[in-house]
Amino acid sequence: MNRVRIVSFVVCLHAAFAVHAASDDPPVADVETRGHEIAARQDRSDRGFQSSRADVTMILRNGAGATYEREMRLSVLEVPDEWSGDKSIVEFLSPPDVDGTALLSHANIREADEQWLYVPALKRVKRISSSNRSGPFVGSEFAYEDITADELNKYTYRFLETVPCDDRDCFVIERVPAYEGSGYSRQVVWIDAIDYQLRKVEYYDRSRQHAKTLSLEAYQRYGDGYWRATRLHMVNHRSGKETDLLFRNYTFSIAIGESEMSPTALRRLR
Amino acid sequence: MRCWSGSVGVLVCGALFAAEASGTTDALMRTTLESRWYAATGQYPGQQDRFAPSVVLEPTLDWESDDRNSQGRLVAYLRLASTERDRTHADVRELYWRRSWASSYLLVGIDRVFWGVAESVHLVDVVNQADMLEDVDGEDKLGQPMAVLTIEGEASALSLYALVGFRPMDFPDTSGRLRLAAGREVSRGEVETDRLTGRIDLAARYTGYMGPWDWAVSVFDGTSREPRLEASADGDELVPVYPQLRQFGLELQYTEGPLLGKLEVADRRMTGDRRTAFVGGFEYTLFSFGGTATDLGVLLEYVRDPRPREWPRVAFERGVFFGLRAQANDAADTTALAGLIRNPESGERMWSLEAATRITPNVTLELEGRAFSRVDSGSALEGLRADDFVQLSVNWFF
Repeated sequence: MNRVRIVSFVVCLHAAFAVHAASDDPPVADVETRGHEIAARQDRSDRGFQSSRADVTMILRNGAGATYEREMRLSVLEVPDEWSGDKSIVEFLSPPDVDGTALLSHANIREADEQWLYVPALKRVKRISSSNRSGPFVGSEFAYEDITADELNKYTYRFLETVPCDDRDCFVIERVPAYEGSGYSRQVVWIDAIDYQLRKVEYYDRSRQHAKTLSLEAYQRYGDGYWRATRLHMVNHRSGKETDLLFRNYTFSIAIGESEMSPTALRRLR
Repeated sequence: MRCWSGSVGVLVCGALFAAEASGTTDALMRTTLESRWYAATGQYPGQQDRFAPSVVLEPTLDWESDDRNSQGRLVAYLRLASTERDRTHADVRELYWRRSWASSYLLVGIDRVFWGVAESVHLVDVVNQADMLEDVDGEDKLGQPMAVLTIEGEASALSLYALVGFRPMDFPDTSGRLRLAAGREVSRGEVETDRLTGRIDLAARYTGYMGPWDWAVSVFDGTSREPRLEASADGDELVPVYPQLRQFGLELQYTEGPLLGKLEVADRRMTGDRRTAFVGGFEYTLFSFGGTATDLGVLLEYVRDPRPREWPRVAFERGVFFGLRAQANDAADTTALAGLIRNPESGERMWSLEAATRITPNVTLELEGRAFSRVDSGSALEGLRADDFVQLSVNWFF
């Protein structure tokens, strides 16, 4: 009995080594397939959430330690098609001078998103150019492309390795933006092997320098089992600036119609 | 007087607020200290002061029912001006109740409405009277009593407006600057319209988007918000006359990458004449300009707004507009817009500058300026030509 166990352990160990040895120099197609599979599983873990709403606090910290806060409300409507992006509205609640300003995005996969801005002081809804995915989002260390939905077909993937992270293993995958206008040459992402959630992202700029790191923390499970990180922490390694996004009051599968995610509906938010 | 529509609205909306007393309310007060400096003393008697400070109070009260289907809003406005006596004025900008259903909503009360896509002029924007005591660009508006029903589709919406009551334009008196009436007194008491009493102005707008196109078509049938100024019988003052207007409007915007293409067309019938006005142009954004986080937008527009003699006058019947917009994308939301509109026939020019930033979470700073050059006597801009100014405002929110 004991022997059998030991033998099977050795066999397993051997098998593990064999896999490991094989992954040292695997065929390109394999690492791409594996990377895509893991990313697809991550994408699927979120499928069917339909809609969500959350209160968000953004905290900006500059190198000198000064902080600056914004309050927002985020509404998302899921578009199930893998080749269409989700629709979302960010309503700004503070600072008070931007209270009521709202940004509607219809995300696209490979092309520029469609975005409309509502400016309450002028009562004006205007379509804005959104070809600049790499620009900063309201002065934060998040670029527009960092806050829009992580859609599967936005990237091509390559599996790198499996490493321990916290209490579990993480798959480390390199992904290269396949959409227009990205400010990144590549990203290295950590996806955990249990819940298939994103744990960390390293962003490499166009000159292939490590520019920023995002940590996704304090995961909580909502509704029918959808995981959400409730703290996103972005560090800009060049400027030393940091931005936190804290999510509260998540609600899922609320009734949000297509017409509420249209530019004409922005006028009735406030 | 100027607040009459407010008192009507208070009764209507007060009753509706009371009917749905639960829900959440949110109050905000804006206090503005504004300092305006004119480059020179005015061209007319009584326009001696070059420094014109003001205080503005703008309280806002928002209410929303627990199910978020009913909303109410009050925005009041008070300006106290120290030197230009008549810029002191109060208004109810908004006082409405709105009820939403799955794909429609009804608004009853006082509101402000913006139509249009262009930056240099707002040709199709006819619902509200402009608050000319605030600025001459027409972007500050007096509250208009109305009932609006909007029916939404997935990518379009139809709004039907019943505009109750007419609000005449306010003109600065003889101590005020930026007088469109070129130094002459404008009659306060008399307002001539050839409309039937008790009539309600009607308007409709159908708006939507398809791919890179955003479009809207609109119709307005009612009293023109712009008056023609006629000499009174004794010749002492000018009397504003508001003709009946029927206007068909078209708005188009094409968005492709960093390029926006814009077109507004207003086909108007007034006093037995028909004219078509249009403004068209481009906005091109240079993102992350010069390796910074700042986006720089370049705007170019052409305006043609032909006016027969019997029609209200307009500052630019022809104009070429060139503008630069900067957006710093910083934590302080710093923005700036500089513009120049020039009449290619007369050479008249109007320069403008607007910039804003935030200095603490509750305090913002705004810089504005306007200048006029090569303005001829007899031009619609004659009354403004000595009124170049810069203005610094501190806005405090609590």
